[in-house]
Amino acid sequence: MNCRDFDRIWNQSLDADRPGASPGPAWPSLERDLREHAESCPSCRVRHHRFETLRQALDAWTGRPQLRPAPSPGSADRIIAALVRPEPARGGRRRIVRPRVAAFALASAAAAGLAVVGPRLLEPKPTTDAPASSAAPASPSLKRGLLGAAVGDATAASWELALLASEPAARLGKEMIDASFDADADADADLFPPADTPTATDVPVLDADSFSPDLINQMGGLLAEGVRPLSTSARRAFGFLRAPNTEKPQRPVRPSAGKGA
Amino acid sequence: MIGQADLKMDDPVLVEALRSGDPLASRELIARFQGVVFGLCYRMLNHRHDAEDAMQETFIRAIRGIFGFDPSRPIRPWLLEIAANRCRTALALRARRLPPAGGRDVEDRADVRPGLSDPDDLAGELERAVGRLRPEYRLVFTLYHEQNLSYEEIAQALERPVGTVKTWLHRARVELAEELTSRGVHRS
Repeated sequence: MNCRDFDRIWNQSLDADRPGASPGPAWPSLERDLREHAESCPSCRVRHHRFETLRQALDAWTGRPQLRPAPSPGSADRIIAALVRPEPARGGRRRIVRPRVAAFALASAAAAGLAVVGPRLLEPKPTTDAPASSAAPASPSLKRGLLGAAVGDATAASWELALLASEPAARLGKEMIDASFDADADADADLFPPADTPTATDVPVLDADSFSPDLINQMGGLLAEGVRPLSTSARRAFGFLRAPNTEKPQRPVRPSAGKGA
Repeated sequence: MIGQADLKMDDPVLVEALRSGDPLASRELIARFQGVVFGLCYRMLNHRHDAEDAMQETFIRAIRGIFGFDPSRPIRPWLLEIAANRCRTALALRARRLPPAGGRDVEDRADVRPGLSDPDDLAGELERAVGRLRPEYRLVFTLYHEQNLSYEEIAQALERPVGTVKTWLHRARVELAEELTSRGVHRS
């Protein structure tokens, strides 16, 4: 017998100690082998004594059913009463608003809007005395239609993405996009029908004259001030909305100091 | 319908009565098995209220899912299988709710401070040592030694191979034997 066999046979011995189990005819010789190995192997001798103690404790433990914990009286009635109650409806996963996902959805919505608006924001406003461009300008209705389609696509994609994360975030994101444009009647909108959005409203079309950065500033301000349910991460993500600076900052003027004076 | 006189029914009859919607059959199931189910839940959760919740969920799931049960199988291992899963879920929820050094896990446990218990109280010492085993070892040890399930039934209940169950039981025994010895428990 080696040390591995020693453990295995001890386990069989403890298995056989269960109520109703029979040790088998070979058991006396196996027990003798265990003792002989324990006497010859110092480490197994320690284990042998430990397992003997465990066996005795197991005998005492399994022989005291009166001390086993019992359920409180009336538990059966409570179970029956609970059975009568209707089972809670399954299906339809609970929508959990996770701050990071909501922030991401909101950021996506805003980014989609700004991707369209941004270049216009950064463009200097044409002055009346500027020379007219020699290139033939595209038709305003064509421009407007293309832009409307792009905004519609971005809105629909943002809406789908945001719906996955959070309905409130989705609604807010869409409002941000909608609020960035003047959704007044557009005579040419029927040339490029807007993408299908869940609200079935007309896709807002960019009108540079009616675009109101104040709305974005206001929204960004609210976000930065901690409007719920946005997290700190979301507020940080939308911090850039607070004051879109379209002008290049001027380098501070330093008082001139003579070198090597 | 099955009357009061027929309440002592064997497993297949009980299953059939449950499937027919007999309310007495539900009571019979609970009365017959609530002791073993509660014993397992209490052993695993160390908390009476949590154990009663787990027991209630076990019976509700069993009765509502009785049509998915194979009536040729015995009921007891199946109930213990459901109870074991309820306990594992409860332990996982508890672990998420509480910080690592949380105290609820030991709320209802016996006093485990060293030197306070009687070394001759072998059963009590083993009870305390079982309570300190890690959950999977405790579950296997309890199902085997207290609930008298076979290795195969435990493997089925825990959805683990029989070899894993044997290994866990062996490790549980080794840990318990060491624990008892370290606390000065000696065989007479």
